Amino acid sequence: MEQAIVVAVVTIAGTLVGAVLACVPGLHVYNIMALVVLASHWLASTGTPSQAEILVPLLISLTVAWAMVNTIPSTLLAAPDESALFTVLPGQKFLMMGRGYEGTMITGAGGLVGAILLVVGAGCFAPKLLPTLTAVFRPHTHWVLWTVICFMLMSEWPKGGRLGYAGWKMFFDGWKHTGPGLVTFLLAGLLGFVLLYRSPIAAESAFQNLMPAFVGLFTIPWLLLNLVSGIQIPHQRFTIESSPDRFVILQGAFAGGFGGAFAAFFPVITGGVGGFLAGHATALRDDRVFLASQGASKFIYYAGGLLFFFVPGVHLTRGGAAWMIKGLHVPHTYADFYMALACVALAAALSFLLLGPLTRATIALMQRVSYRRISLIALLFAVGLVFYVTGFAGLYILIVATGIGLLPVLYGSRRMNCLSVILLPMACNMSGVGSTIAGWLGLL
Amino acid sequence: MSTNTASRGDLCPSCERFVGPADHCPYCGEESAKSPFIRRLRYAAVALSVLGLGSLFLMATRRELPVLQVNGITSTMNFAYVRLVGTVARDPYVVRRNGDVDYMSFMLDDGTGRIRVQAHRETARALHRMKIVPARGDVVDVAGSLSVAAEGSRKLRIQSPQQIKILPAVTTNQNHQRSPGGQVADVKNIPPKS
Repeated sequence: MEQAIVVAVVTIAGTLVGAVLACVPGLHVYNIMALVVLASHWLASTGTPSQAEILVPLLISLTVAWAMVNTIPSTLLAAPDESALFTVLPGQKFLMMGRGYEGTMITGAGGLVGAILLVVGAGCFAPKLLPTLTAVFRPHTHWVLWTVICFMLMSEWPKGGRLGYAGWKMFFDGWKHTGPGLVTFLLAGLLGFVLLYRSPIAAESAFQNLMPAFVGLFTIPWLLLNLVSGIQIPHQRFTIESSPDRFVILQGAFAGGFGGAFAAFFPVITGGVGGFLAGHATALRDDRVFLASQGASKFIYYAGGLLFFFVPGVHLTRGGAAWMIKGLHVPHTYADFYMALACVALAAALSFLLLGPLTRATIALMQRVSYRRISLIALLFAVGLVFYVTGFAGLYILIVATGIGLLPVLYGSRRMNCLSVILLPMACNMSGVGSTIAGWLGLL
Repeated sequence: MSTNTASRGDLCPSCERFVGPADHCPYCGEESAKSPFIRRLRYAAVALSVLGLGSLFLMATRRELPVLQVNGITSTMNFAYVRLVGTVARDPYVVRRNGDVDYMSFMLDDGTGRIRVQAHRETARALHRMKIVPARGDVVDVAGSLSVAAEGSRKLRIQSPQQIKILPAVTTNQNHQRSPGGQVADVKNIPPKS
């Protein structure tokens, strides 16, 4: 009983902290967890080992709160992580119409339904179904990954090449958006190979090998453009004007749930890709349905990927959170699984209740402090965090990744192509050719 | 009734007709008035990404790997590319699948602790083919990717045959019993599925 009370208290505390930190643009939950892991190591070195029943619920609640509340900076401050790439465009539409609060709450509602689906679905079926699904899909994961990559690349349609006289000029005009997308995919993939095989980051920080790359590919370019563009955010209203009924939310959440579950189950596929596949698979048209689907997809990807790690006998390690917890604690029993389930449920409910007040507080802050200043502070914070965790080598990787991440933003191609930083090397590894290609590149 | 006026950036600088976000004017073909700063930023992004990646590649491949000690491995070193030097404590363990080597591992002892060194699939086959199979008592210099989990589970994964070197025992002044010619302690054969 005492342990249950400790777990509940830590979960509530972690949710409160995670929800506030989720409002900081450019700060990813994996960065926060990295700091927690470093702190626990420091405590262990001073003779104070951290308890699993405190550390694990803390990390779970941070992840869940962030997955729910990070919609706020993604929508209002346009600093999305890769899982919010699709939320941003309809979300920005709502923001520029003065309905940022409504867009955020609709996305959060989708996330809440996703939480219910996850807790009920995983609680009832995961221990029985997950081992079978894992055994069935394991030999086929590599070609599933390649199929997703092909779909990602081939579904990006040329935007130009329709006006003017036929010839090379029209040909290049047609490829001027899609071409940079392919170049981004290739460069990000090469960066991924370097980081996975011969990362220049010091061994002590290797568990955050990809952190500078992800910050540079996704966070920094958007913050830079916020600084350069000088966009003016119109006055925001705190009303829900479109009156979304339950069917709108449920339709979106179920569609997004499939995408999030797909991303949570298959390795390497992230929340952004899951949301992308969900959007295409269900052909969502209504912006509100789309936002709800992205909220559900993001939540199920982050929380579900972490929850699968606790399923007894399977221990699927999906997502950075599960990898970091694996270094601190390996769950063994059903007690661990149901503890994690309880943490997810409690943290999801509490963070959804905090979503409204935090959205209002963020909008109030935006009306007092300029968009540019917030972006500048977020930029300095992100760069400082990368330097603190990974040092000068990480900073250099951040700069290179920023160059790559700016390409889709400046040339109008998909930012999702930057996910090649993990997709391409991991797909090659799973197909058994990763080491061969790394050898050709001189990395081995 | 309100009148919408387009901003200067939406008009063609040549014929002053509305072009919106288009890069070229569909009426006169002139390049539209994109901010020169954005244009320069585009070129800078290309240069930064290509040149930066090239220099990062050079930095990564020319970096001298320091030798790590087993007792210094912590969980924050998960996925680290490291180098270890030590003695093979036991004969290697090999798994064959469908008649071909699919997995190989051995225990490395560097005097401060022990760690399992593994090679999977193609790498294991290549090591076996090239006869780079360390035996008990061999001194090896091995590089690879660390896998560190809780409860003390530590493994080093070799990704290519070039990452392992069997050193001459005489240079290390270590007493050890070398088992004759690459003897393998345990071979597990996994039969093909019928």
